Formats: sequence, structure tokens, C-alpha cells
Amino acid sequence: MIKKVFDNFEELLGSVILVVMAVITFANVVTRYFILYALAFTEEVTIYLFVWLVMLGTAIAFKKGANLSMTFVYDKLPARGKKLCFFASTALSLAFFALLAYLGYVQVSDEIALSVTSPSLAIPMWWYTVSLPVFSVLIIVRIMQAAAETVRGDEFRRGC
Amino acid sequence: AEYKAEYKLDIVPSLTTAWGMGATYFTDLVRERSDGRINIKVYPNSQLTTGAQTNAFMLVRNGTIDFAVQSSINYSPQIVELNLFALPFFIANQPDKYVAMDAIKAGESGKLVVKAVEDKGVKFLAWGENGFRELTNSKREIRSPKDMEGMKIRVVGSPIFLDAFRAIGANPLTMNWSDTMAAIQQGVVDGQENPISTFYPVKIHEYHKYVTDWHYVIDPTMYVVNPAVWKTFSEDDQKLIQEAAEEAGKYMVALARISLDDGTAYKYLESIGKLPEITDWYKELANVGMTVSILTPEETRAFAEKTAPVVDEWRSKIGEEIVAAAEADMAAAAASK
Amino acid sequence: METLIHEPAFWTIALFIIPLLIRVPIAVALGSAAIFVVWNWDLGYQMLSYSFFSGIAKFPLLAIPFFILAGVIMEKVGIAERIIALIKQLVGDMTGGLAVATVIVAAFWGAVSGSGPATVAALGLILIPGMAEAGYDKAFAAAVVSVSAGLAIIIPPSISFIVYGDIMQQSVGTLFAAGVLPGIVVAAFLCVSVWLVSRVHGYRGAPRGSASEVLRALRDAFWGLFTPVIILGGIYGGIFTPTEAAAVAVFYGLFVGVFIYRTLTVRILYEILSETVAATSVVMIVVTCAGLYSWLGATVGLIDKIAALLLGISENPVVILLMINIILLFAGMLLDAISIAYVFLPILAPVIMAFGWDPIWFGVMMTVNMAIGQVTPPVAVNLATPAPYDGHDVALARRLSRSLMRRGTLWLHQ
Ligand code: NA
Ligand code: NA
Repeated sequence: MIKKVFDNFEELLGSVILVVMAVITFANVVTRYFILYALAFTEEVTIYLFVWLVMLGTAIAFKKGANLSMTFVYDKLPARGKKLCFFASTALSLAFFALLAYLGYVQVSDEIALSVTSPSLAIPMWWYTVSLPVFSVLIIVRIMQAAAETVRGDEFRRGC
Repeated sequence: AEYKAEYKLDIVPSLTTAWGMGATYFTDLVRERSDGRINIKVYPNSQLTTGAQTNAFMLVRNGTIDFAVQSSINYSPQIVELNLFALPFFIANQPDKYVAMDAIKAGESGKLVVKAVEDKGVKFLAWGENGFRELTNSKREIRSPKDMEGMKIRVVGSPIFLDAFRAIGANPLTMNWSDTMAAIQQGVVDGQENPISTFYPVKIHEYHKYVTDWHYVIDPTMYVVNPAVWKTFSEDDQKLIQEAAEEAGKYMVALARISLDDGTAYKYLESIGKLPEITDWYKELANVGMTVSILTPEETRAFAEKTAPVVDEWRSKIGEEIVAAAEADMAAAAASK
Repeated sequence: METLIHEPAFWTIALFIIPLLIRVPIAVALGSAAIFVVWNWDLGYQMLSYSFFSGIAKFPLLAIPFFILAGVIMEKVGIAERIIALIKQLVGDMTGGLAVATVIVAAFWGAVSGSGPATVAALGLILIPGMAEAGYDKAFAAAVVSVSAGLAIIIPPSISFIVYGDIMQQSVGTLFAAGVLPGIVVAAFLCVSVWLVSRVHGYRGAPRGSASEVLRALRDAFWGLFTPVIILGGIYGGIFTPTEAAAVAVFYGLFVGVFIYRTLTVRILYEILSETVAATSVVMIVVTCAGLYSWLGATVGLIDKIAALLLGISENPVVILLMINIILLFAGMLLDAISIAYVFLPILAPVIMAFGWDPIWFGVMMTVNMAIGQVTPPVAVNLATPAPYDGHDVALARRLSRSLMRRGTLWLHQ
């Protein structure tokens, strides 16, 4: 059970967030005709939850190897070349999200230290931005999991 | 310490606004007086914050940006005290709004504000000014709260602005300045509020025919620098930069006030030989086809009554001490005049 | 050489292209190139997290997840298959009947979906085996589906237009409106060309249904056919913004799935949601990193330089336009539409201004160009989806499409 939740954490939380975003936006359209202000303030919630969603979905994309990439050079390489490319590519992805995790952490710390508030609801900004460091770590975990699987399966021999 | 080959300075609008000119003047003065040793480059249009203007304070604080000329509004998510200038009709209701503004800058309340800014980790150099914020829209002439009912107004991403416009009965939307012109062109919003010297250069009159001169809040700007960068300058250079910022600030204030004050701004700009192209804003706005509605004190009062609860609510958020000090500073200035 | 090494503009380009060639995800290649240059030339790398956040958190971009969600719902609750059934009935056994039906279905589906590869995924599994059974060459069948799926980004809604609108500060609604007619024209040309090929090979369709069968198919498909009316009517009628229209389409699809077709189960809903989360992010991570990259290009002055270069080549607008089209076509062969938009548009914007071209018109032209790029090798996403398909085995097709999904090609070029 716990493993199942861990394996599908992004899908579960991401689905919930997507539902919330869709409901708020739809409710906004409906209420705009009845209430003067509609739920204008909820725009903040939707667009910032969108960041949560994209970070979670990026973790899914790395888990499933679904990110856009250019494969036509890679496909023509021999197994050794593919292996080299694979390690270089994995290392670069890890480095990028490690930097994002670190800088996101610094941003969140600064925002907590300065009690920065959000533009419409004036709630703590870090409630939204915390998605950057936390889910960057999740993305890093997923990159490593997928890489381990690739190495174990020795997928370089096959045309990938 | 070693100086950088080039320092970065962040502003929100384009270089052609009073804001942009005030920033450029500062960098010119510093370059000239340091014989080219200290070079500061102005990055307009929120380039350094990739459009997210309310992040500017954080990025100066952590050293991503060296210098900034920033409006108090864009720093208010981090420094709640700066909402003092965004209290609706707080300064506009004074007998002379410019005297009142200067009294705050020079007085006890100004010191408290500067202290709040520096406590949060940014070195303050000088005050500038964007001017009082006026309202433009594409729908109709606005002279009373009723005229604004349900109107979609773009405001900067700061809660006090949302509160004020809701209290009046309008429908405010927050948006970055970098997205605003597109929203205006597409009719996503009906109106916006900004100082004349900010909205005129972007040709707002091509979309908005109506200006309401209600000067409900003022937008003072601050010349600031990252404290670590500041420490790298020699004492002489610190003095040089400080003076340049103060002079540029005076220039910027005059640009924001020309033809709107008692003539002081015009005289000052003339004396330094930097009179701008446009020296009469109301005439120019009429020239480009805008209907300028200058509110009478009674009309202004109708708006102020609507927003009085917002002022009450925000007094405590900003800090009673600062608001009271500002009232005292303004009263003293009015009395001595 | 010495000077090249000290030139941030050089590194901006090199550090993007080299990782791209060794199969680094496009987003990571764009993002890390940007951040390396920012760090090395001391432009303040700490802005990464701030830019990343504000690059995603934009209201117009919210239309992307909602339009993807709406498309996936419409496919999974069975709207796609009902539209196919109807068009097949209508076209009948004329020469190239099934191929022409495929183009028309793709045009219709284009008015629901904003993505080419998603259209291939929704329609290919039914249409390709169907054509193969009727005696069409499989490669031809696959090609017809892939090429017609390009209509999805020309005919609104379109993720390409949403991204273009974001970069060029143009109204997405106006872009949508401008895409309708070119989409129909392209569809008409496609009909003619598949008809010509079919005549040579003697391909035909299935016999036309009886009047009552047609009527039943129409009744079945009615709810699906109504979707474009809601989306486009809502936007042009000034009732919704594109983002709101997308959200309304989502709830309309759910309504049809739950109350009309009764095909929506909790399991399918979960599948729909998680697939949308992944597909959205594959697009958005490129949007974000490409945004960072193009911001850097502007900051280091690269964009001004290339734009000046381009303007210096000729004063003749026809020459420049031809050249731009060749460049875009070439870029479209290699890169996805979103990266192209972010990398090239800031460069092209001053050129568009200098010649006084209408940015809406340019956006449509560019999008048609991208639609061609989606089916042009070596990186032809629409083609990649059904091309390796062989045999009539649906299970194989499903496995293939799943593996392609895993490789991410499905949503490439959105
Ligand atoms: Na479409
Ligand atoms: Na291609």
C-alpha cells in the first residue's frame, strides 16, 4: 500500500490538484454572472497550483521517460555511445534540478524570513513556492530510479 | 575590494518613462563622476526579474541585482510598512499633496519607512517619485464611485489595491505590468491606474479615452543597492554614489510633478537644463484625445468615504506608529506653510 | 576562436545544441544552457527559482492543461469513435472514401484537441486498422492520419496559438479565429490529395449506411459535434476567455461521459487526470525553460544581433519572408514547436515590426509551418506515432502507442 502510494504519488496528488484547478476556474465562469467580483482572488490559487501541477507532472515525465528529446543522433550510436550519452544526459538533468531544489530552498527561506505575502490573498507566499524545492527533490528521486532501471535492464543494446 | 566591470540596475517600465529617465540620470552621473570606473547598466521592462516585478526586492537582497530604482508598491509584499503610500486618499486629502509627501520623506515617518526597508536587507540611497496614480479607462468618464461599478481594473499585485477597488465597487484584477498592455489591447481589462508619466509613454491613449485625476495614492520610488555590493565601494565612491542618487531622485521627482505642482518642478528642471519635451501634462493628454476629469474636492471625498474602511483596516497592518507619525509630519508641514 | 570563448552569445547557442544531440531532454538543454551563461557572466543565477515559478504561473497558459484535459476526456468517453462512425457513414464507398473521411474527422477533432500527436493518438487506433482492413496500404493509412492530425494545431483550439499569444502578447482568441479558415483550406487540399492517391491505387471506403443508420450515427455523435460550438462560440461570443472556454469544455465532456454515454468510471477518470498531468507538464517544462532561454538571449544581446543580421540581408520583404519560412521549416524538422516559438520569435519580432507584418497573420503562417514540421523527418512526431504500426493487431497498436507515450513523442510538438 505504502509502496503503491509512493510509486504513484505524483499521479494521485496531481489529479487532485487538477480537479481543484478545473473546479475553481469553472466556478469562476458560473459565478461571474451572479456575483459581481466573481472569485477573482481564486485566480491566484489556480495559477500557483499550476506550478505544483507542473512540478509533479515533470516527476511523472522523468519516471516514465516521457520528456521531449531529440533521439535521431542517439539512435544511430553504438551501445557504448548510447551509454555515454545516457550518463551525460542523466547527470545534466540531475544537476539542473539539484540547482533548482537548492535555489528554491533559498527562495522559500527568504520568503519565510521576510514574511512575504501573496498578491491577492495575502497568505504566506512560501505555501505556493515550496513546490519548487520539494518537488525538485522528488524529480531527482525519479530521475535516479529511472536511470537505475535503464542500467539494470541494459536498454542500450536495444534500439530505444 | 574589486569593482565589477558592470553593475545591474532594475526598473519596471521602459527607459522613456520618468522612472526610466530618473534611473538613467543616476547611472550617467555615477559614470561621469567616477571617470568611467563605476558602470551601472539600466535593465528596463523588469528584464532582470523576468517580468515578475514584485520579486525585485528579493533579488536585490540576495545580490542577483546590484541596484534598483523601485516603486514602493513592488516592495510592499516584503515590506508591509510601504503600504503607507498606498492608503487611499491618505495624502491626497491634505491641503497640498506635494508638501505632504515631502513632509513624510523628510520627517519621522520617512525615517521609520527607510528603517523598515534597511532592516529587511537592502541599503536605501535616496527617494525618487513616480507621481500620484491616476485612473484611465476605455468605457466612460469617471467622476463618482457609481461610474466605476463592476469595471475591470488592472492593479499591481498587492492586496491593499484589491481592497481599495473592491470598496469602491470596481472589479480589480492583479497583473504584472509586463502583461498589462496586452490585456488592455485585448480588452481583458477596462481600466488601469498609474502615474501619468508611466502610462503616457506607453500610449495608453490609443486604448483608453478617459483619465480621472483623483490622485488617490502616490508611488514614491527608492534608489537602493545590495548591502554587500555597497560595502565593496570605497568611502569616496560611496559618497559619490549617494549624492548621484539624491540628485537623480530630485530630477525624477521634478519629472513626475512638472505642470502638476505649483511650478517648483518646472523651475528646477529648467535650472539644471533638463526640461522634458512635455511640460504640460493636462494639455498633452487632451492633445492626444483623452478626456481629463479633474475631480473637485467634493467628488474626491465621495471616493474617500468609500475607501475609509480600507484605511482603517490597513492602519494596524502597516503599524499604528508609522501612520500616526506620517499624520503628524503632514500636519506640521501644513501648519508651517 | 579566442574571442568566441569569451562570447556569451556563442555559449548560449553551443550549450543548447550539444546536449540536444546527446538526447538530453529539450527542457533541460534549454534551462541548463541559460543558467550556465547566467552564472558564468554573473547575471544572477539566483533568479532561476523565481523565473521558473513566474514562467509557469501565467493565466493564459492555464488554457493548456484544460484543453489537454478536455481532449483526453472527449477521447476516453467515446466521442472520437462516434464522430468517426458518423463521418464514415456519410462519406461511403466513394474513391478514397476512408482517407477523405479521415481528413474530415481530423479537421473536426482539431476543433476539440489542441495537439497534433494527441489527435493521432485519439484517431489513429481506429482509423489506421480500419483503412488497412479496407485494403489501403498501411504506410499510406498512417501517413494520412499523421498529416491530417496537423490540422489540430491550425484549427482552434491550439496549444501553438496559446504559446504564440503568450510570447508575442497577442490575443489568443484572435489567433484562434484567424486559424479557422486556413485550417479548412488545408483540410480541403488534403482531401484532394488523398483522393488523387486513392484513385491511382483504387482505394475505396465502406458502403454508405441507410438513412436511419446515418441518422442514428448523427444522434450518437451529436454531443461530440457540439463541443466546438461551445468552445469557439463561447470565445467569439465574448462569453469566455480561452482558458475559461477550456474549463467549460472539460465539464461538458464530463457531463457527456457521465450522463449521455455513461462511459465514465472512476478508474477512467483517474487515468484521464494523471495522463493530463503528465502531458501538460511535458509541454509546460519546455515552455518554462524555453522562456528562461529566450530571456537570456535578450539579456546577452544575442537576439538583437541576429535580428539585425536578418534585417541586414535584404530590404525586400518577400526575400526575408521566404528565408524565415525556410528557417522555420528546417527548425520544424528538428525541434518541437514550443522551443521553436521561444527561441525564434524574440528574434523575429523586430523583423515582423520592421516590415509592418500583422502579428496575427504571422502567427497563423508560423503555425502552418509547424504543422508541416510535425510530419517532416528526422523528428516527425505525428508520423512517429503510427509509422511502426504493422498488422491488424489492436493489442500491438496499444502497446506501441503506450511505448511511444513513454518516449514522450506523443506530446512532442504538443
Ligand atoms: Na485544434
Ligand atoms: Na519534424
